[in-house]
Amino acid sequence: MKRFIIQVLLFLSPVIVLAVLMEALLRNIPNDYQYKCDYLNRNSNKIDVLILGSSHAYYGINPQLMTHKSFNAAYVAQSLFYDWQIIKKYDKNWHHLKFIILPVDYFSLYGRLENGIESWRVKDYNIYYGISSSHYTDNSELLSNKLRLNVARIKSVYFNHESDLLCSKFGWGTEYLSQKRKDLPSTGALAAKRHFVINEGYFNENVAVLTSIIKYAAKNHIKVLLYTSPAYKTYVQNLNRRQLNSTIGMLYVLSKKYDNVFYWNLLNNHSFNAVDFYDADHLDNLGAGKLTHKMDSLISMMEKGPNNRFSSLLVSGH
Amino acid sequence: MLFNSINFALFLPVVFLLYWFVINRSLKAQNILLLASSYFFYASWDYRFLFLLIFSTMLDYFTGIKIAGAKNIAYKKTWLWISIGVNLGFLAFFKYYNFFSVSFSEAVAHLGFRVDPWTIKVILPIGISFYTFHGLSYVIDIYKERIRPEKSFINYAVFVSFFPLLVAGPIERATHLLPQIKKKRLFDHARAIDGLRQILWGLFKKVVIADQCSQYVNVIFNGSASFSGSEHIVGAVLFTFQIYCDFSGYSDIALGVARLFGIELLRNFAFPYFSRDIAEFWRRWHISLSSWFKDYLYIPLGGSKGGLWMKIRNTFIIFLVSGFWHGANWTFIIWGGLNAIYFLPLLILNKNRANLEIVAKGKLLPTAWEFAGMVFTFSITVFAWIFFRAASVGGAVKYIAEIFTAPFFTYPIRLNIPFTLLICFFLIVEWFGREYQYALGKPDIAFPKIARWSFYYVLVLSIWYFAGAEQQFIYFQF
Repeated sequence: MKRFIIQVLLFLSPVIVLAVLMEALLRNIPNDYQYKCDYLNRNSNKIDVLILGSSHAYYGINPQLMTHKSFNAAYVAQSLFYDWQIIKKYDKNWHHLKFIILPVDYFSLYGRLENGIESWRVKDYNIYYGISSSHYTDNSELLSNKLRLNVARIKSVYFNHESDLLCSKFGWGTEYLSQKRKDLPSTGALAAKRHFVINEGYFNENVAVLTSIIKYAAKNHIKVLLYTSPAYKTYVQNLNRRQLNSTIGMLYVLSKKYDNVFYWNLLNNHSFNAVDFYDADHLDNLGAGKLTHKMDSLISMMEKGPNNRFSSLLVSGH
Repeated sequence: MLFNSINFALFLPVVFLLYWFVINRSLKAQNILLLASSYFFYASWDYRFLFLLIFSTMLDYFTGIKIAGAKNIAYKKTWLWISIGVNLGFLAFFKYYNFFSVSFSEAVAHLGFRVDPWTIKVILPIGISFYTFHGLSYVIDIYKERIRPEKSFINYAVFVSFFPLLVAGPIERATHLLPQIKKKRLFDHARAIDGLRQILWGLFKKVVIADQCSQYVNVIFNGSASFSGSEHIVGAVLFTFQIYCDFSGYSDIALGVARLFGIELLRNFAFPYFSRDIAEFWRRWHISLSSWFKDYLYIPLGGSKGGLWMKIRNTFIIFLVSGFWHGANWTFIIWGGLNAIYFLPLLILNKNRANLEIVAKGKLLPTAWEFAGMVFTFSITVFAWIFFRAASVGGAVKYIAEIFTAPFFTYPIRLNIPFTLLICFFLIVEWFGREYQYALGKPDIAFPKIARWSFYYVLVLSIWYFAGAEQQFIYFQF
């Protein structure tokens, strides 16, 4: 019996050593989650405008172009739950925070990060942000992703000297450049299909999370600017009307109900053209400039009071 | 908790160490541990169905005692039919209710009446087809006085629920498994190592071959219109490998895990794709189910004793029921029917027992005749699997039509060369191991330790490399 155990351990020892080594290598790769967490650890007490949300905000709003001190804490596939967890994590630090910008898109109220194809990202919040997960595999880089992807990552960083750090100093996603634009018709149909969620089970849960964010903000005199991201027509045309209408309907309800909430629906906004999109549902660097400018102007106007030229665009409790 | 999950990789060593190190002195304690861990294993899918499993176990345990203690045949029969009725009633309700309801509504619609089917939204309890058959065989064996009823409920419950076989077999017999559960088990180093090797090979088949095949198969079967004829053929062939590696991989893991606990389960697969005729294929494919149907359906129906016509009739019944056992869909019934038709010439010519030994036993390669037989049997099996895989009969017919209407001789662009080589590697290993219980079942002494361990490391690393999202085993849905 002891011989068996020793033999098994002996056989497994190279595999275990390799696994530990790979885990260490993977954890030492500088990445956006770690960078954003470090930045917020140091600067959350100085930020005026906090941008949260998914890739639509990560690539869509460049804090460097904003008048106020802003930081983009959005990330790819970041759900409302993790937006809320980030807010709570720095609860004691938001001394200057005046505005939270948060996109609520077609999929935002219907999905959960833990259940989608991007569920492997949960470990990043666990490991780098310290937002604990109930699943033990989320404590490991290695156990949360396929070996081939982990090997590719190690190879690109340690051997090809490429960087995994893809965001700017203020958290904006810099990869989606207009020169690299993808095919808008095909990406529109695909993204719409990917974002369609048959299961409505998470709707109430997500609305509750969003309400928590709003109530927290109200308590701390922070205004919440909700918006639906601009998208190219090939995406919009393929959206399920029921899912879209219920999402937008809920945003109208919330913005009517809470005084600190403003909602801006940019989904069909005509000021965004084909050149502003990287793919059918993400803005490129040009589009991001445009959206950032709009948001910045809006914040400036809102600071002056509710009766401004944007009031017709917005829905709010005022 | 899937066999190919990290949860299981943690669960198994814990149970193993408790079993051999902590409570190894008491057989009763070992069996209680096996039962508790089996219930935990089952509840990890859906704890609600654990009550169904416990109820089914208790029912068969008590009816077994009642049948054995019955004073007259009528009383005995009553208890037998209570057990059969309730067991099959659960199976019918969970697995077949919607099928019968919809089929009835469609049938009366042909007569000009409109009846809306009453369908229910119910999740199929995992493993119900397997543990129901365990229980039925036990009760029928007591009725036929082949065995005495088990007095210990714990022992009987372990027989029904032993976690390696609980969700997808092999379908065990009380005559084979119960004596092992009742006997003191001693740790055997060689058997335990053999168990680990079988688990490794099973995981390789599941994670590397079956799950990779499924990526191609799903794409081709879900959108058959945009693929060439040759790609449709590739899709069907890959599904043939997928279902074999998925199910026999599961069986290898189950047998290997059981062996770690000192228990031998029935062999379920014996290299079926090296069969020279369809009769041989069915003696090598899902052996525990085939033999169950033979013992509890074919023989009670008269078997082959009533002449050729009865033999043909009973063979058709067996295959149709076997198809229906797989699922409530006409595709499975047609799959069963096709296999019965394949069997027909062998029955008429009385050649169904022509190939009992493994092909080319003791030789390196088969003869040309044997090879031709293998290719032919494999081809007709591929054709039948199209019905098994398709979502509907219409879908299967469309798929077959696409093979011939779409450009037939174009090179299948989705055929990945490295993956094809991987399948070739798998086939070579299986071919060289075909005379053993499983492909790596050859005694250790044949190769030096360094060569063996290097080979095992290749398997471990390829499993690790290809492992991704845990994919459920196909047979869990049955």
